[in-house]
Amino acid sequence: MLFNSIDFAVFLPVVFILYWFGTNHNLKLQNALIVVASYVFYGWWDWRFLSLIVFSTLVDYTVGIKLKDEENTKRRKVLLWVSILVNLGFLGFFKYYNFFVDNFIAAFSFFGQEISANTLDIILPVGISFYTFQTLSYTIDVYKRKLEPTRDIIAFSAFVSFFPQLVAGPIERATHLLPQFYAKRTFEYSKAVDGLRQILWGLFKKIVIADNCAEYANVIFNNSADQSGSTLILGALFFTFQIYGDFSGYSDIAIGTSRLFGFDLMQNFNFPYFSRNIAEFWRRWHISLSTWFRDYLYIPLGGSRGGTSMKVRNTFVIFIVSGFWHGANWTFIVWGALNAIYFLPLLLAQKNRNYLDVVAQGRSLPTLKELGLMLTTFSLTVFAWIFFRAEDIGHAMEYVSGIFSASILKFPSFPGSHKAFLILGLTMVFLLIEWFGREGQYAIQKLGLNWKRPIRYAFYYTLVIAILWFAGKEQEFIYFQF
Amino acid sequence: MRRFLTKTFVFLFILAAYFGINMLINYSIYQNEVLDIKSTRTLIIGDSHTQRSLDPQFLSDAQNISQTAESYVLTYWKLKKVMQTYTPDTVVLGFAPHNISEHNDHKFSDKDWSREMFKRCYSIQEFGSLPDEVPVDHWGYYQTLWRQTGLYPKEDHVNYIGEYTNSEQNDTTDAEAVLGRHYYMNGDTLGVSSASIQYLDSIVYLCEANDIVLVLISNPVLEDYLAGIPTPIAEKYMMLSDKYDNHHLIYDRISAQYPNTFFRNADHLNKSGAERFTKAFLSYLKRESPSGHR
Repeated sequence: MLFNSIDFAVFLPVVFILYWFGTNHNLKLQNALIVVASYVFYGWWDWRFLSLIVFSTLVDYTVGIKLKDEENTKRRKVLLWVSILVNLGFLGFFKYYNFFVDNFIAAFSFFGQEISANTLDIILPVGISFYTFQTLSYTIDVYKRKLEPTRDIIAFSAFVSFFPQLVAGPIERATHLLPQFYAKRTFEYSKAVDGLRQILWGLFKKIVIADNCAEYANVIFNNSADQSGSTLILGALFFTFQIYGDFSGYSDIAIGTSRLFGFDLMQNFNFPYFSRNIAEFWRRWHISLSTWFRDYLYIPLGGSRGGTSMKVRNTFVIFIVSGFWHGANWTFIVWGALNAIYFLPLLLAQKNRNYLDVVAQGRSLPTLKELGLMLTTFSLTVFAWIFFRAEDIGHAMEYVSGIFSASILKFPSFPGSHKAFLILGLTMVFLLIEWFGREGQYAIQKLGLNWKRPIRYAFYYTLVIAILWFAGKEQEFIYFQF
Repeated sequence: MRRFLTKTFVFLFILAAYFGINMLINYSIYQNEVLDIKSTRTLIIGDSHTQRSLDPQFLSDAQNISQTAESYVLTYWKLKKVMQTYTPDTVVLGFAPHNISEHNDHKFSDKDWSREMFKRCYSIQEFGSLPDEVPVDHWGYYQTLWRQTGLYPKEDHVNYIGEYTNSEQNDTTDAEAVLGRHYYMNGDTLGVSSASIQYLDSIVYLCEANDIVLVLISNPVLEDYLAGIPTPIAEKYMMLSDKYDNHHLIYDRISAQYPNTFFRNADHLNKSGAERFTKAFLSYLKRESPSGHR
């Protein structure tokens, strides 16, 4: 079920009413309702793949309990590996099988050896990368004795399948989300209103910004060979805003929906396009995944301790794995490697922990230096997104060489370019709102709270009308494919 | 909780009430709207073929209200609305093989066309009477209806009256693309649209019932395009031409040889082509029309 669908517009109020009025505030019933609702939510897409979630849930639940009772280190390791192999096995098969087969065939034929192996027509289960990482965090934390395993199968199932964040995150840690399923939840007016406001902003980002930018990003990327350099730059910019609006919009809707049910999810995006260097960008972009890799991969590998070669190795490992997590294509790997190259100088110069605050905090405008740093970081990010969006490496290289051609000075022109500039203008207004709201968890959290009520409501109504105006295409969220 | 539900309800209610009131006001406006249209003796109606091939300035007392991609379904609704204002002596209707291709059945459901069609027809639509083979994207329709009528009271809801438009453009390399659009979908060859024929019949009956001279007209197209028309559709077109030829005028110039420079693209004439075609048509009308275009 898509958040931007009529189905969800009916589903959400029904579950909300049942949750607060049909369960008599009984925790077990509320958790059971969440499990049922989450399975309906997921099964709406394809009920057959529910079996994967149920199986993952049962394996990690059992492994968790066994880890609690097991003192023998070797056996504990075996249990941990059972969970890792089952979860990553599913992920590997569904997401990466064809990629590895194709590349093995290509590698052998490069050396003159023809091997015969068939790729499979595999459907990628929606959200598998997200819930797999979430359940893995549970097992690893229990193994490290950071978390007491649960014996409440309903609460655990609800944790694994919690519908607001099941298919595209934020990837929650068990230490943060699971305890919320044990605690009595009472309805809080301010929390619910804040949730609705965040849903509204998320829908605006997705339907008004991302879906409109997608239209032009697709036109330009799909016909990149025929476009001028300036048009290709515009295409990359459209994709830059598309992916941000799409994914951060999804996260906003997920977090807002959770708040309606009394849950707090972690912030997943923190105005990344206002970052002053790449390290800051990565502290602000897809935070739940970055911190997951930091805690469960980067730190166990040694992190930034050790010599230069170890720092370089670990940086490349985490960025490349992060790229590969997004999809089975070399483009994602190159995108990850490119970000590692951006990040490495900052790490080696020990400047990666600069800019931990909000840019231009307490001021309306940035300084010239801040503006320059933001524009530089933004340009590097836009460049990297070209590899993320391209069909393959060849396409990405062709796109990049198209940009750096004489036609870069031509005025951008492509089918529908007149409307595209209007959308670009709308995106600039959106960026302004984001800028003025950058000190909140999301742009309109605090923005407008001091305005007179009629003006504030006029603003909310404008957002609703814009959403309804552009709604209807029900475009899938990009991150569903990851 | 009560406060939250009440406030949410009030927020949504105000929004719904605002949209609802606007939609009701606009409904009332377009239901009672009298079409502001010239009462010319000759009315040219159809899709982009008639829109680009018949320049009314070369005809006496004529107007061209054709619009691109218009199917016979929409033409029928349009003609009925026009006839509430006045009855022309002669209706010149575009009639070519692509007008009876099944691609017309998707005009109200295809993502590329439906929104535009809904925008044109919401004030005159009769979706309830459409046959099953013409699917309607109802969600898209209501969204378009809301966009057109929900936001503020509008004076003018007439989006279905087109006009002659053309230029000297001359690029005839798109025969394959045009054939693909008219006769193929997802790699499959489209058949004959029974709904289009049914609505063509309705237009014919409407003209007969009002003593209107009906001229079915087709402009020249490029040979490449003509040769690519699927046989079943071409044969049906010929059969229908024969059928209507008994009681109505048929000006079929689809296979006429025009110089390449007279074509805008593979299936449309450009400005020079339209001038030649319209003048030739005028001579034909003077010769054949019982109402006398002299």
